[in-house]
Amino acid sequence: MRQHQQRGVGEAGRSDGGGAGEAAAGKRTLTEGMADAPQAAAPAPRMPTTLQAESGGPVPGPAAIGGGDGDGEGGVLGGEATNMSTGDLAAATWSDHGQFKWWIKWVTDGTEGWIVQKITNTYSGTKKDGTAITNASVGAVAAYYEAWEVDKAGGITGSLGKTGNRDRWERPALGEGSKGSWSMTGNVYWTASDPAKSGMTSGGVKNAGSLLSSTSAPKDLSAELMTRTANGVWDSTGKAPTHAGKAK
Amino acid sequence: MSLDDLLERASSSDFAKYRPGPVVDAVNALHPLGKDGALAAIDRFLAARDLDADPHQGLFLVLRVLFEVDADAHPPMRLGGSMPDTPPTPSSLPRFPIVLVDDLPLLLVSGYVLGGEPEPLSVHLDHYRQHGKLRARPLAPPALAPAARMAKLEQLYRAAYQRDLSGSEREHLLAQLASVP
Repeated sequence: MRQHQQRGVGEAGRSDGGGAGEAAAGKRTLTEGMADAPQAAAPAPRMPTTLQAESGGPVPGPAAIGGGDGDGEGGVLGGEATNMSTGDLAAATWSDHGQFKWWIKWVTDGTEGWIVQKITNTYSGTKKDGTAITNASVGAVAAYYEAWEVDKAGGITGSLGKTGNRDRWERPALGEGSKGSWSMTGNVYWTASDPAKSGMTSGGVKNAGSLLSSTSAPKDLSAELMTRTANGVWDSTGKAPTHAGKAK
Repeated sequence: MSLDDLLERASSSDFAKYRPGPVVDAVNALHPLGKDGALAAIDRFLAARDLDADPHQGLFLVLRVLFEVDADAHPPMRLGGSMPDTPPTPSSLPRFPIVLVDDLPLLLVSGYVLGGEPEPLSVHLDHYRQHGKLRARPLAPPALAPAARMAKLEQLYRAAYQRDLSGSEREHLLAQLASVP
């Protein structure tokens, strides 16, 4: 199988909420550099804010508390994420017949909370037999939410602890004679409220694999911290299949 | 070929290129070890590999051919969305996405649509450890013309989905049948 190792214009590596830079074709992208560089140390977990109730007044709940600096003594609360980025585990690759793969890990300063990503999928095209390619025809859900837990030390897991700090975006090969386009968008948020209490369940949405997931948004989402996108246009109707796109 | 070589051949996650022969060979190499021995051999094989880099998802298929379960169907493989999806009545294709036709394991799905994280093999290994029963006999697929096997598969598919195979599903299955001597 041929792989079109176009990593796309734009960073598939560290892309923070401030927007990714652009990399010209043929030049070494941040992602490629990261693949060779030693693993960067994860940011040190932020010290949680210490609260002291005054005059018997109520102590605000975790959802109302922003992150801060403290000595970690006394009442311990999670640190709301103010920074979110990703690092490639497998660089984005566009292969024949619409096949795509991009694996990342999360990097955040948040602790004791959840990373929540809203995925939006689009698909269009035709298969060799002329049948339409749509989200439904390939088993893609139009939009859903999924979550990873971040513990007190900043460790990130998914699927109620059964999987690690990984997000895999994959599109299957749709066969010779097919052509079309696809896109994925990931809008990323933080929450200090357990998404399971909002009805998210492990494997709730098939496209999420075994992650906590749902087609409904969980409660108490922060403002959007970053947006990730990937897309592709492929044509396997000619002599040589083509597939190209962007991921950032 | 060593058992590890056979497991490696059968463990590919590239379902678009699935061929039944390696799964048959792996199942038949594991069967003489008994239930505990087979699971231990798979555990040892996986322990020596980086599953983060290569999740060896083909072994999900080996497990659901090697074992029987008392439930209506084998545990669902949470690897993403697929076409076709799990049948509305799981017991109609209890090993989905595998369909056993005269001892030949055919794979209905050519790939998964994923935006998340697939479940690890360990979940299914634990399930079969607790609930699985080794199949009574090794696989012995008889020599059959591809058309004859395809006809049987089409019957099972129609009963499960109330529709015929799509063109791309048929091509995916014909390629598998053509690989069988």
